[in-house]
Amino acid sequence: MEATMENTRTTGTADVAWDHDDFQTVGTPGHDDPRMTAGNVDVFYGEKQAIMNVSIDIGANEVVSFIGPSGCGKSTFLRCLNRMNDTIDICRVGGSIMLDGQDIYDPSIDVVPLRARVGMVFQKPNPFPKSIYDNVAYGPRIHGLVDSKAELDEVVEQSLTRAGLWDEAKDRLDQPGTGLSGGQQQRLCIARAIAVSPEVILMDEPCSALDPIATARIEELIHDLSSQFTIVIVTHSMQQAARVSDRTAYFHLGRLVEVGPTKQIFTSPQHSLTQDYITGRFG
Amino acid sequence: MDLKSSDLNQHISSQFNEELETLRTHVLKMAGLVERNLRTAISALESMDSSAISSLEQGEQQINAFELVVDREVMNIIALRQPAAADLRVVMAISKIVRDLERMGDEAHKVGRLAGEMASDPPPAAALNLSVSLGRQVADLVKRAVDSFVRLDADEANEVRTDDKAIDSDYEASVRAMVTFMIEDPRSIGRVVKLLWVFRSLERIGDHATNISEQLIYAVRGKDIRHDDVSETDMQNLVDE
Repeated sequence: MEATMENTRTTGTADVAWDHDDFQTVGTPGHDDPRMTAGNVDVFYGEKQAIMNVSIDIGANEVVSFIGPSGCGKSTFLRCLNRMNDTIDICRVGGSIMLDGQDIYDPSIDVVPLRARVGMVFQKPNPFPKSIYDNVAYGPRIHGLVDSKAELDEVVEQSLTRAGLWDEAKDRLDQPGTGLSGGQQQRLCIARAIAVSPEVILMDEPCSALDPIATARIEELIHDLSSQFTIVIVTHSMQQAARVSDRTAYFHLGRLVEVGPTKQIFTSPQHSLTQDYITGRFG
Repeated sequence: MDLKSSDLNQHISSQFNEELETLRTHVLKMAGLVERNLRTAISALESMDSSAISSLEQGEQQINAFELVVDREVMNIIALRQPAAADLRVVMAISKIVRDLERMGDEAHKVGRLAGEMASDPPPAAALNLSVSLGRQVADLVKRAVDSFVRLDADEANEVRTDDKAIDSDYEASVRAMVTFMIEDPRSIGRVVKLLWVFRSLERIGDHATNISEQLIYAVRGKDIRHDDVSETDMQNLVDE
């Protein structure tokens, strides 16, 4: 099976015509119940093209992992999914990225609520220099999601509980989030992301600064959260991709080489580049 | 995308390359011992020779030792290297192949032991010749299964599977012939029954060679071709129950 995405509309920079070679993603980039749909996405940093004609669906309530060698474009592509690349002046994004059928690069879209709908967790835990409570309460407050203190208390407790941090944090909610351990800080960041009830959570190497026990907790959390949220994770750990994701996408030199069910990718990949990467061969 | 022999030593980790190479070498040595024991057993059958048994027992002990060695190496690779994709398929296939090799060793030993037991009171020559002939066919099949493993040759492995069907039908014809021998000369029943056990062992060895070929095809192509009577839907229905 090959990529058969039909969406060829170019937004933002529609006047630029890109030459696409006949490279085809192998596997199953489509999904029966897509929450997000990326169609023919190109990303440029100035003159340099970082992403080439990538099309993939992200299904509702699935965990998709992006893997590939450094510089392959997986983080760049992830950041396109909630327009984090907008913060980089020289970055241009072409193609289309739809969330629930709506183009997120449409000029009418306000990126602030977009980033509440498509939340993000970064490589290094980055709690605000505020109390644990305020870290989680920040989003619901600025987005006006709650009407009362009691309601906010409930959202904070619920989010911390879902993030598996409530028991450890409930007696120190007024203490700074930065005083928590690395693993706890990352769970706090996840609690902060889910406090605004996002549809999709993007995770950019969320465990690379954590020890194996803290990593295992985050992975367990990803599994729990997947019943309510759609999760896209970029990871350098192939074993992590194998453990947490339903589908795995392999990127190489800015191209989406192969997408498939994680079990299939790790037992019988179809593309030799995928095979070389996941088996640690010279590519 | 078929796996090639040259793919196995292309890892960035030279240690992993060496471990896989060592694993393959040990499987090949084990297979070599199985082939040698099978040939020895067939020669003993042909010449009704009881002296081969000690050599067979020595080979059998080494085959068993190799099974333990390879199993340990497989465990270590899985635990320490976490192989994926074709590497994982090769390692899993090998862990199953050694089991088949060990069973083949047991059956070859049994053929040699039965040959020794029959030496003092041989079965009719025509009956014995049938068993020697089947034994040679089986030994050839085993050699080709092992060769396909050495070369990671899935096409050859497929032919081994096909040719085992011929061995199965020869086995059935031989069993019918043995019944005829027993009907024609009831005094030969005791000797011919022993020979029936020989046929049975040879047929089993052919089945094990087929298993090896199926594992090899899985390792090379990632396609599980065992049990063609089971569909993907059958499996799904089973796990959905």
